[in-house]
Amino acid sequence: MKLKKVLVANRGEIAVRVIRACRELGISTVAIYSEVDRESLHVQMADEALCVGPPAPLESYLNMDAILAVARKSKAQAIHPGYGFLAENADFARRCEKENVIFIGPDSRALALVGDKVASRVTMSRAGIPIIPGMKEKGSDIGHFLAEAEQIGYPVLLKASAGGGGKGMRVIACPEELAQAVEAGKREAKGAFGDESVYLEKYLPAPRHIEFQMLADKEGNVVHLFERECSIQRRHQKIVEEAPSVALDDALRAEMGEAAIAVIKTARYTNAGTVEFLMDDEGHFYFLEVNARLQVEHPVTELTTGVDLVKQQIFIASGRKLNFQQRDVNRFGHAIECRIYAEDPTNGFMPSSGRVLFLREPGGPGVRHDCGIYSGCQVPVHYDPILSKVIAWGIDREEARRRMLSALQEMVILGIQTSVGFLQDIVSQPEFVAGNTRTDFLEKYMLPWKQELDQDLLEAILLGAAVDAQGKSRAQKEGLPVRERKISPWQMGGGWRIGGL
Amino acid sequence: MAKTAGRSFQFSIEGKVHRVSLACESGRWRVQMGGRQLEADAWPISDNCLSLKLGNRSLTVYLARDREFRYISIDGKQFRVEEVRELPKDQAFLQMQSAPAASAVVSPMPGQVVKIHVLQGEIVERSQTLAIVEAMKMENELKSPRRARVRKICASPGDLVDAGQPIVELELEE
Repeated sequence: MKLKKVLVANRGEIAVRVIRACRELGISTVAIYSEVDRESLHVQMADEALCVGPPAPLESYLNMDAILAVARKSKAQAIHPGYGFLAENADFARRCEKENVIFIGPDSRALALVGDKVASRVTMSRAGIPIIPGMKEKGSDIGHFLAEAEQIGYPVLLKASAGGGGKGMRVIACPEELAQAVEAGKREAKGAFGDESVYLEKYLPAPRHIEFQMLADKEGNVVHLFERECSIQRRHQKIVEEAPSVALDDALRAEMGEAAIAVIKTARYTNAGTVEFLMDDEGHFYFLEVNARLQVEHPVTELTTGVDLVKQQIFIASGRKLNFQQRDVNRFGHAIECRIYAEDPTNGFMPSSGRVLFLREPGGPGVRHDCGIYSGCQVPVHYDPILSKVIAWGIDREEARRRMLSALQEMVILGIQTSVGFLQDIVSQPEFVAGNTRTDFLEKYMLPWKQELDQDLLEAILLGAAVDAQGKSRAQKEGLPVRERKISPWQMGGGWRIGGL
Repeated sequence: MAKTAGRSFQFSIEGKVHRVSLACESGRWRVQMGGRQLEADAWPISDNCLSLKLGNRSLTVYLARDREFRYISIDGKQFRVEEVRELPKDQAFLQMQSAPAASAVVSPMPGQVVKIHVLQGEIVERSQTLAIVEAMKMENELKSPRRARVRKICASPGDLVDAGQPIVELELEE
C-alpha cells in the first residue's frame, strides 16, 4: 500500500525529520500542535496542521482521542509517533489498529511486550539472552522494594517499567534513600508515560552503553545495522553518541548482532527498533531493553550505513518487504552525534526556556544538523528541552571528532542556555579522544563544569559588548532607531485570522 | 573621520565586573580595559553580528540583547553579559543596609511545584531537599544551601512558578 498522507504525532526536531522523509517520498504531512506550539517549526513545515489541545502533554501530544480525531478529520492513513510521547504506547497502537490507521512502528502486541521492561527481561532471560541481575516483577509496596534491593545488593537502579529516557530513573545507594526515590520515580514515570510501575536492577557503575539498530519487516526478515555507542550520559540520558563503538572488534560485533537478532525474533517485533546492551570492560554484555521506536541518535547509523531509517519505517509499516539482507549491510567511516539541549551545564543541567534570539546553524563537509528551532522561536517549558542535533561524519573517528568540534564552534544559539560549549569540551577531552567512554564519563572527567574564559576571549567579549553598547547609546542620543524594527501585523501575536477563516 | 569623546561601560560576566573605555578615532576604536590599551576595528555585519579585528586577529562576535543582558557567542562559546550601571553612592549604601537576614530558596526555572518537603518552623540541614519543582518533564530538587529554619513556605504543590520566584524562605539557625 502506498501511503499518501501521514500524521506526525510529535513536535520539535524529530517531527521535522519525519516530515522531511515524507516529503522525499511524496507523502503529504499533517502536524499536530499544542496551544504553545502554534509558531513551532514542525507546524511551518507540514502541509496541514491542527491544534490538539492545551500545553500540558497529557492534554495535547499524549491526548489519544484528540490525535485520532485529527487523523480521521485529515484522512491521514498513518501516524508516525517520533520518539517519546506516544511512540511506545501499546494502547495507542491498539487504538490505531482498531481505527484502521497505520501506526508506523511495531504492532501493539510487540509494543506491550517490549514496553513492559520487566516482562521483556523475563522473556529474554528465558530465551537465553544475558540480562542484568534484578527484579523479574514490578515492585509493589516499599517493603517489597527493600527486600528486593537487599537481595540484589546496593547500589541499585530504580527504573520505570514503561519507558526510557532517564524518566523515573534513580540510583539508590542505601536503604534510607529508597522510599523517597521510589516515590519520586513513580511520580515521574506516571507523568511521562501514564504508568507508575517501577522496578529495581543491579546498578553497574561504569559500563559502556552499546545498542544495535534493528529493522524487521512483517514477513519475519530481521537485519541489524550495526551498533552505536551511547556511553556519554547525564541524568541517565545520552548526550553524545557514535558509530561504530571503539570497544567492539568484529567477532564481538557479530556475536552481539546475533543476540540482538534473537531478541527481535523472540519478541516477534517488526519495524525499526533498538536493542540496548550494557557492556563491561571484559566484553560481557547484558540485554537492557528494546527501544521500540526511532531513536534520537538514529542519524549516526544513517551516516555510516547509508540507510534512511525513517523511510524504512514507512516502507515496513506500509507492508513492504525489506529489500536487502544482512550481508548487504555495510558500514563506512565514523559518525558522532551531539545533542543540543536547552539546559545549563554549569547548574545541574537545569532546563532553560525562553526565546531563541538568534540561531546560526553549523555547516561544512560531513556535517548534518537536525534542528527543531529557528531565530525568534519560543522554547516552551512544557516539553523535553532538546533543540537540535549536530551529527558529523568522517572517514575515521578522529576526522569525525574534529569535524564535530569545528561544527560546534560555528554554532550560535543566543537567548537561552544551551549545552554547545559543554559539548565542545567533551569532544576535546583527552579520554574522549582516546575512546575511553563509559557511563560515568561526565562525573569522572567533566563535572563540575564552567565555560573557560581566557584573556583573549574576555577581551573580545568586552570589546563586542562595548562597541554594541556605544552604537546603541549614540543611536539613542541622535534619535535614531536602535534596530530597524519593521512592525507587521504578522508579528502582533495571537488571534490574527484572514477573512475569519 | 572625527574623533568622538570616549565612553566607559561596565559589564558583569560570570559574576565579575569589568570596565571598558572606548573612543572612536578615524574609524578605529581605541579601547582600554584591565589596564591594557588596544586598537580595534569593528564592522557591523548585521544586527546580531559584529566582525572585529584586533591587530590581524579576525573575530566574529554574535550578540543579541534582552533587557540589561547581552548574549554573546564567540567560537561557539556563549556568555551572558550584563551591563552594570553605577548606582549613586547613597543607593548603594541603602542596598547594603537592606541585605536580607533571611534568604529565599527560589525556583531556578519556570515550572510546577510538585511537592513541598518541609514545614514552617522546621530546622533543615544543609543539602536537605526542601521542595520539588518539575520542568520539562524532569523533577528538580531544591536543596537547602545551609542549616537553617524554615521561616515561610511561599508556594504549594500544583502552583506554576517563574524562574526566581521564592519557594521557601529560610532564616539562619546558629
